[in-house]
Amino acid sequence: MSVYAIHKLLWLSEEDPEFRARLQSDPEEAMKGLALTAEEVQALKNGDVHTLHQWGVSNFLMRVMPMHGLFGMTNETYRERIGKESPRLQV
Amino acid sequence: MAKIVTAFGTPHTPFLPEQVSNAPGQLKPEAMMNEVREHLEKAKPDVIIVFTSDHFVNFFYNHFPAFCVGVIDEAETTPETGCNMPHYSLQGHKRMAAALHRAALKSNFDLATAQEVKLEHTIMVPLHFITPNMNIPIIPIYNGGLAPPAPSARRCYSLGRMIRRFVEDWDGDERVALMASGSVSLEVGGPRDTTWFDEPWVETVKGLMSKGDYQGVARRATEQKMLAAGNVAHELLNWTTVFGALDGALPDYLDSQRGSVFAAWDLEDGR
Repeated sequence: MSVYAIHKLLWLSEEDPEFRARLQSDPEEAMKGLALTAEEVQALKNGDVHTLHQWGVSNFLMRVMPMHGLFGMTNETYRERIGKESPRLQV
Repeated sequence: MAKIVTAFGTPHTPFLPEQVSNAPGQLKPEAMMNEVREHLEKAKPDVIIVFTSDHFVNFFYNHFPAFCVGVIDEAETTPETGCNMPHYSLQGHKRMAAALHRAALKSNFDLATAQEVKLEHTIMVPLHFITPNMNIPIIPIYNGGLAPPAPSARRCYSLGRMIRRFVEDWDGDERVALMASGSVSLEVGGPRDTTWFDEPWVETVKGLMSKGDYQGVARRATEQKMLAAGNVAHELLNWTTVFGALDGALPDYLDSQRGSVFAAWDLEDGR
């Protein structure tokens, strides 16, 4: 588990338009250059933002997923999946 | 001797410039920004020390300083998704910023420095409305609140006090403005969406500000309290830094909208 690598993916997808385009067109290939575990890759591919949230991924950085349509995410699916529970106090 | 002639604070809602452009004269936040602008224009500052929280534009988890001062000649806006406004460039005040850095270290505030920064919406949305000519140099001071743990509100308040002493000891005759950027309660991308805000907390902060009880805000703004008020509610740290430099002056303009406070202080008489 390396939340850092997930953060890096999310950060690059806003900072680097070329990386973003690769992530949108061929996510599996784009993720190969990052030190993500198989579990993390699966959670990202599934758009499982609830699990990412539980792992301690920055919600602020996660907002780029619906913003850029990453992993098929829309504003509606993002809101539905992240859940309604109280936010973590440690982020 | 330089002096602090005004202070102000506003939120930095990234889509506000576009909203206002589409509906000029119709939105309350535009009127509130205009109110703040009138105070700033009356004060005629030569430089603005801007307190903000970097939103992963200049910093990332590979290096996210608790505090950092921009020691820059000039800087430009950088494109950000969801923030549509004109491209701007701004002058820095490099000599004063470098002296501020040195003074901070001497006072045991270990600020990092950046000699190149990208200007993000947290600085440029307020300035888009308040200094639209972009003709006043800035000294940006960042905190790492978006990558917790953040510096404490009390520490930020103390930094503000140090910066007041620095300005008063500075050998130039600059008229200095202070700017706090950010909201009091806001969640972006979290389980509570952006329509939610902690109304009692906003009212508490605003009430304490109206009485000049700035240490009361700093005391109550614990890490737990700010995180409970939203995942970007730590932006209050930018305000508590300015509070430390006010020497107890009461605000001359104070209003709120949802999770945000707008305020201005006229400090010309040396209060």
